[in-house]
Amino acid sequence: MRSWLKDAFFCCLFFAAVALLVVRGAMGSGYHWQWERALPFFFTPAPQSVFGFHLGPLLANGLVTTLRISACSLALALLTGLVLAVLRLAGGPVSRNFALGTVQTVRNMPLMVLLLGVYMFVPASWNLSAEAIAILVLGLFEGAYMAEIFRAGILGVPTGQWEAAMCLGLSPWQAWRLVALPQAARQSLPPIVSQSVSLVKDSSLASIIAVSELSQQSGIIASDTFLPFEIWLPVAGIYLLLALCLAGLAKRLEVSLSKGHMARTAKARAI
Amino acid sequence: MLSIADLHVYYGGIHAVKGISLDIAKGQIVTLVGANGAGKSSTVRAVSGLVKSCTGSITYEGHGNILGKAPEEIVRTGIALSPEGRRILPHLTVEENLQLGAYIRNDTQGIAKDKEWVYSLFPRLKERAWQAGGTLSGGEQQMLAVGRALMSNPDIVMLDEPSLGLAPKLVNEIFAIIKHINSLGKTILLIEQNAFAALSIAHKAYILETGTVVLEGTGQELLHNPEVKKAYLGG
Ligand SMILES: Nc1ncnc2c1ncn2[C@@H]1O[C@H](COP(=O)(O)OP(=O)(O)OP(=O)(O)O)[C@@H](O)[C@H]1O
Ligand SMILES: [Mg+2]
Repeated sequence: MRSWLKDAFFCCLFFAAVALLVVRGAMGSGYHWQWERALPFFFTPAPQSVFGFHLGPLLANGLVTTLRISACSLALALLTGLVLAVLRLAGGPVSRNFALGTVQTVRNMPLMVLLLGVYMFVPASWNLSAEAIAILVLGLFEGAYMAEIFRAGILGVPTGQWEAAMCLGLSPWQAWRLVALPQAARQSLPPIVSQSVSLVKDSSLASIIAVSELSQQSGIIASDTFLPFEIWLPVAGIYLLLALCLAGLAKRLEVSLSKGHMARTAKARAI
Repeated sequence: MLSIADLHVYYGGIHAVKGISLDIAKGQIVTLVGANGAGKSSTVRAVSGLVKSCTGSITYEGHGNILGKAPEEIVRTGIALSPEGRRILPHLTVEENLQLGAYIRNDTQGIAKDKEWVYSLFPRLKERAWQAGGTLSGGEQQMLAVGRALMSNPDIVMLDEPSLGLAPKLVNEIFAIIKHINSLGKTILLIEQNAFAALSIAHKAYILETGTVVLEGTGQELLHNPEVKKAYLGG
């Protein structure tokens, strides 16, 4: 009990000191806060609407685009990652090396270079929007990281587990689906979540190819209005909120992963 | 019923089994006894199709030579293995592990009956039916591994060190259970470090040393063989 109090005391002391420094810095800079001017970019009052407000352009355009890019490229990244991981582990010599080459090349290239490269060299005749390019590049880039996470998860399943599965009469594919994958998924889930959080934040780089997502809009508005802090601070909060939502989602997935087994084996028996 | 002839098993450059021949008659308990690394596990793993490079022949009544078949084909011919080191599925419950043991079967009623039978053999497992396999104690996992092998309703049950990690009282119990299973008509290939107990219940026994059979005979013969006494029975 005493050590708990001591721990809390020192943490409070630390945060108080940091807060003091920040507040003093903000006062000393002579910055003139104008939150009321920034507010309309997030929310505009609308008495006639059910909620009493409309979403401002930052949320209605920027955030929605960010969400769309993140969701699409996350799906693509998971798929790419799984395919690359399986190719690296179970593919023939050519596909194995192809997967290895892809993972290494993509992972060792700055995302910005990759984005600009694809943006400039994709033929105009393909008619890809900047947003579509951002989704593709982001999906591929994060997918290369996810491939390594999945691979580690699959390698982490002991060989004895495969053997046990085969001895029970499961075919390699069923052993993979019923025995290896659930164990690998549980191993991989935490790093996959942190990679997904990276993906959401990395989606802000789409601004350099003129995709009007949250960061690009914020940048424009902040410089138009000379309100950098009033715009960027809440935007940082929004990214934080997105990350927290992802973590919460993962937590629920983890619970359902452990609950779903009975149903899955029952189903497998019926096949 | 099952006859292994001139079996060789290789792991890369290691020649682990060097021409073993075994005969397992229907309805018998046959035991393999030998020091660590003698090649006992390698032999049953070869029968189950888990070893990639092996030569010789494994003739199974009604199925011809099964050497080279995939593990999932072999379990369908009626040969089940309770592997060394248990290898139960840690993320599945006891119930689900048993259920997966019956993966190759379709007779829902038969499966339910056999599950009750396994639970009656190991009441401890019934108490733990909804516990994740990975959180069972070592001895409980061992019981589950044996129970799971029985769930495929095999004709031949291969048990690789089923008493490993069990308390002395449970060791006696598991040998009684093995005898009981055998009395129900199942043929048993038993690997044991506990040579005395294994030879006591075995109809036929083989002594393995560094990959070859050095002695064979009935359980009683070997139990009273002076060499065996000296090397494996502590006197
Ligand atoms: N996967 C493997 N790779 C390389 N060598 C192996 C492998 N499995 C077994 N061996 C070797 O083959 C030999 C026989 O091993 P095996 O497991 O069959 O022995 P065992 O008689 O079952 O021993 P124990 O009583 O300790 O279980 C040993 O020398 C072992 O080191
Ligand atoms: Mg062994």
